[in-house]
Amino acid sequence: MKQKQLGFLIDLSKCVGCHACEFACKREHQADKVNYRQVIRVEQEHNEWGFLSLGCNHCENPECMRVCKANCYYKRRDGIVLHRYQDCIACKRCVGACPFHAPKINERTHKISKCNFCMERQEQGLQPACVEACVVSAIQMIDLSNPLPDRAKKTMSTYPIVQFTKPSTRFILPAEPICYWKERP
Amino acid sequence: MKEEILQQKLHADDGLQEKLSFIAEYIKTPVALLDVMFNIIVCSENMLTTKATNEVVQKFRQEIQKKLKVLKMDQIIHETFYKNEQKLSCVVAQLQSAQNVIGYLIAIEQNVVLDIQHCKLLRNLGWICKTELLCQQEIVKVEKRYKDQFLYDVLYKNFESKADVIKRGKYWKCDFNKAHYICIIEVDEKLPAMDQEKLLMLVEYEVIQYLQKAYWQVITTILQEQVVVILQVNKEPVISQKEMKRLLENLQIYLNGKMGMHTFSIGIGKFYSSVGDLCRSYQEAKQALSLGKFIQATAKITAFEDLGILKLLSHISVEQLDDYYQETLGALIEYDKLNETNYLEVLKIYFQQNEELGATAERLFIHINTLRNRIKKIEEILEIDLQKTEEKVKAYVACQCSKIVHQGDF
Repeated sequence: MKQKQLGFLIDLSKCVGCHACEFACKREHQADKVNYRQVIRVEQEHNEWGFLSLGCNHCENPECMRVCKANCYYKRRDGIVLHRYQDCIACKRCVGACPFHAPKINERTHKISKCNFCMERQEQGLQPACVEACVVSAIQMIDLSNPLPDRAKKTMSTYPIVQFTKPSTRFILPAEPICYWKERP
Repeated sequence: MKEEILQQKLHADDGLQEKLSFIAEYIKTPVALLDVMFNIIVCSENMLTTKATNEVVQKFRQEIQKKLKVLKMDQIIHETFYKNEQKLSCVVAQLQSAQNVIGYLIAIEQNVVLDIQHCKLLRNLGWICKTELLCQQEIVKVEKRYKDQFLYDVLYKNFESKADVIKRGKYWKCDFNKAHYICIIEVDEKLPAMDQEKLLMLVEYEVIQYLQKAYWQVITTILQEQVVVILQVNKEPVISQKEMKRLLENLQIYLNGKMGMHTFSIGIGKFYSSVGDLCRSYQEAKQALSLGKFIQATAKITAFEDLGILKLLSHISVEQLDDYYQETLGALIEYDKLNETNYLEVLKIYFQQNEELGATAERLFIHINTLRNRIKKIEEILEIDLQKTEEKVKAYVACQCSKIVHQGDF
């Protein structure tokens, strides 16, 4: 039996960079006053290539879990990586260790907090705020134990994604631009 | 004895051993039920010692399996096998379910030669054993699912309190009051999903067999296409990493002996005495395994503590590593390309051999003076002095980067 692993599928061919996911996340976690999700502009040879929405990738091998001295991190059976703020001593080791800078310092509690995949919303049968807010469905919630679309890739040539933590995010890359004029030989 | 009575006895509510013993007594030949790896699950009372029989059966395992390969479902063989002046006359029934072999029923002829009627009886007994084995497999599967989920919680610290885990661990005979070492075993080759799953189950079984024979308390689970082995150790005196490596080397040899076609790599996490830290040890073992392939491609045993600079390099994206590699060794790569030389290879092996000229020259099959000249040339091309620590480290790190860049996927 394959273990369930929830993650995100980011479709760069659809994303228009409207930042709706970012704002929805901020609104959902407004008490924390932290940006858990960010939309990054991806460029290729100084040309705009697409937009990438990144938050916590709920990695298969979470580095935050390895470095945390207070053992605050845990991974649920559905693959979501969560943080127990009660045990947090705010040593900030996880902030530096995570290649995606997912754990953030919460100004209110002065402890670490991170994306919890909108766990409370999921318990009510709702999609995470970022997924629901995306008007073009460029961000989707997926289960990696199920078959994925062929176009879903682990990495991108235009944006470095550190792989050793095995992030649970997959990307659909934008199609190559079509050239309608004849180039000189 | 009448056929009817025989059938009644075969289908009675008795356990497997009673049934096997009854048939064995009737045909005056010892009978045993074997698992897929030819280990005895249960045998009749008139069997010689289980250990002796196991040894004999294991000796002829390959020959018997070769014969059974061509058989159709529910057919049996009646043959005499010879190996190193030793003889084994037996009747073997291969127990199959949906194309999968689940076990074997073997009757070892000693003083009596079995006839067709006996073979028929053994085939009937085989069907009963098959049903029993399938039932047992189903029970084991359900039990395993619960156990796997529990171990997942332990490995990812998905529990509220240590006391809770220690209490729940007792249901699975795991004493989490004691300290544990975690190691992970992975098959080096990429196999189709179904074959991979079967192989991993076999590996898990063999690991338990081997470690239990060596008097180790062991807990195993299969997670993310890897066999996770949790070894129970005493907090005092702590077993050294060297001893642990030696044990795992022997385990690796044992696994290679059993499954010669495949090679296995092992990653070892650091030692922690509390169950709360097992999650960290697990992550370390996984990291050791995935980064270990940059030290040695296959069949390696890597401890997290041995990773050195690779631990830091793994945090950097492949693209950035490639940039550094090209920046530092670009001139040498270019020179090699233009002149069809292998100076980059020489430099990498020189570092691999801890800068020992003798060992490097031997590995490259060249004279030591030739190597000296080549190193001088490398220094000229790269405009560095390999005697200076800073420049040497720069080149060494670039060589390590190239391993990650070229071997790719973590």
